[in-house]
Amino acid sequence: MTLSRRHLLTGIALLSLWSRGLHASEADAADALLALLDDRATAAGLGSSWVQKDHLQPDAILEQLQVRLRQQGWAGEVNPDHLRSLMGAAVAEDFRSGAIVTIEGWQVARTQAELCALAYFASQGIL
Amino acid sequence: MFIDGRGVPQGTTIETDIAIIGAGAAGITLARELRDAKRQVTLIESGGLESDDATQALYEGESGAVEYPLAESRLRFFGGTTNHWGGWCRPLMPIDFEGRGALGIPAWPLTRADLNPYYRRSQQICQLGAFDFDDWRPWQEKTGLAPLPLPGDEIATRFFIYSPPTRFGETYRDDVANAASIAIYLNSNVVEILPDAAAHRIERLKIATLSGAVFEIRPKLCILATGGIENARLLLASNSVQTTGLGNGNDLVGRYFMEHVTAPGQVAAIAMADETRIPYYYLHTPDVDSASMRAILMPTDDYLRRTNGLGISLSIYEAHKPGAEPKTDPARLEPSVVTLLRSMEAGKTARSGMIYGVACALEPVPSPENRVTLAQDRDALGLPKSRLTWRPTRTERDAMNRNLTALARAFGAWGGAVQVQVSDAADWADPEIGWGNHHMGTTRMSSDPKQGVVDADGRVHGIANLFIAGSSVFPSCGPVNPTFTIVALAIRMADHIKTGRLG
Repeated sequence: MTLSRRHLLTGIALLSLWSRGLHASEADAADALLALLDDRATAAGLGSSWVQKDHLQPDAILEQLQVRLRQQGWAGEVNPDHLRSLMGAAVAEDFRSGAIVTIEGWQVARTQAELCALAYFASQGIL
Repeated sequence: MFIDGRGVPQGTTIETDIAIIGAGAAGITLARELRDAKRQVTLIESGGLESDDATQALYEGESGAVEYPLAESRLRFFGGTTNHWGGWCRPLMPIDFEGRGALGIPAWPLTRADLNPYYRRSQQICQLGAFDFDDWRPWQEKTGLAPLPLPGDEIATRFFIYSPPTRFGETYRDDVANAASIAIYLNSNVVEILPDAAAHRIERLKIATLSGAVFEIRPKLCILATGGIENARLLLASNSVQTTGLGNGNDLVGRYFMEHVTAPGQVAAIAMADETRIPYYYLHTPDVDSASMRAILMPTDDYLRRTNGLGISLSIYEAHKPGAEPKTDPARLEPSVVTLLRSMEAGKTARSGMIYGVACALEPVPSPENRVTLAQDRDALGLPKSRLTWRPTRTERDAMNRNLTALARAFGAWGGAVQVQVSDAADWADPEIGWGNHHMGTTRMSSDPKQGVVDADGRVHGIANLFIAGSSVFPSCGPVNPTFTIVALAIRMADHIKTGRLG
């Protein structure tokens, strides 16, 4: 059995969850991503039903989101315009590759859904 | 010249070169095209120049599956169903002629290229102006609006051009009524098409009127053009010689009835953060020079070939502002979705978001179980009523959902979001089913008599002088309205008659 990059990253995310709490750099990344949202509360509303349906964990979500952005060339910058542009590219790539999440019939990119899930976790004080 | 059949003396026999049964889009086009052909044309119409209840009631019939409005979906007077036609015109796509074997969709014995010259003439007859359908550049030049730059190769912008709509019975009345070579019998119902003893040639048409008159027309060449349901009904009821029905030696007449599957209301919603990003001509029907047009979205031919998909035409309209009425459950997340989309956008504007509705017409799979048969009950002329058994299948449901998911991919990658609102249940419940009042496929065209009722010329296999015009000859129908193609095929048939190719 070969270990895929995804498996590896998920393992890292789970280890991170086990360690309880985000590292400072991860917290910065989470803050930068959440700052993109015009309205965190409505995004959290979108994220909550997905999180609960699929029993998602915050560290895994944050890690996956960062992976998607890294695949678009992100190196950890927090400049909102740059980050937003990378988010757009990641969203387009999700739709191209079929990484789509359905929330009450709305078909959104997994990247978008993960951002909403992040907003939900933040609203719950989990991040 | 108009002749009221009710005044024709009982037992009269009328000789003619060409009899055309039915004065709708196909019949009137044929007669008009043949008006200078130096052959005597007799156009036979069940109704008069205006609608009347007794004649319209001859369309009443039975539904064997979905309760279908047999009488309301057609009009039985001069001009036929063009008297309430909506005017949506688009040619079939090349893929519609190719067939998709995995789905049981047969190829036409024609190509789109074969029909192109006739489509161009149909464009004139349907009063559409001179624009090309599939070249968006003239539309962009005239409107200043570019088509949606949807990413990917699955969904593309196409254009409908609207007929005024042409009421064939009014617009072309003088052309046919004033032609010396054309006699138009009104209030005259063909109740049986009678062939010779071998059923190889048509000899007589038995005509009856609601007033009780009976007379005969003896044509050298006969064209049946009464619509997708009535064409099959009349062939099946013409069973004096060929007891299973005329042209029905292979049990195909009436089978493969096709109807475009729609859904009451919308099948999807599109959320956009900026209400100005979808150009006006996707949402309304502007006049551009002499044409009235509307942009729609369709899967590309390549996508359909790749996925063995069914065609769909998707039209968009402004539904409401996000968060505005209706406050139904499915709409609960609309404002959140729009806010999310806005968060993703660079260079935000102060414009408000919009929720758009999506309506569709889906190409059906031709099925032998969807069919027109004869009912036990008879109409006022003694002819068995038609019984229509039609129900879309799981294949259509799945195809509709796949197409809407492709729409979601395209809009999602472009910056919108789509909510698919069609259930994925195995069967269609009756309230979920809509249709376009398009009746097609019941005498379908094929080079092989075992696969179709008529050949590529519209000639009934095995009957030298009987031809069929109209959408009943469509082996497949794409997702677009049939009238434009009906007219193109009628022009083609008239050309072939004029050249002597059809005898």
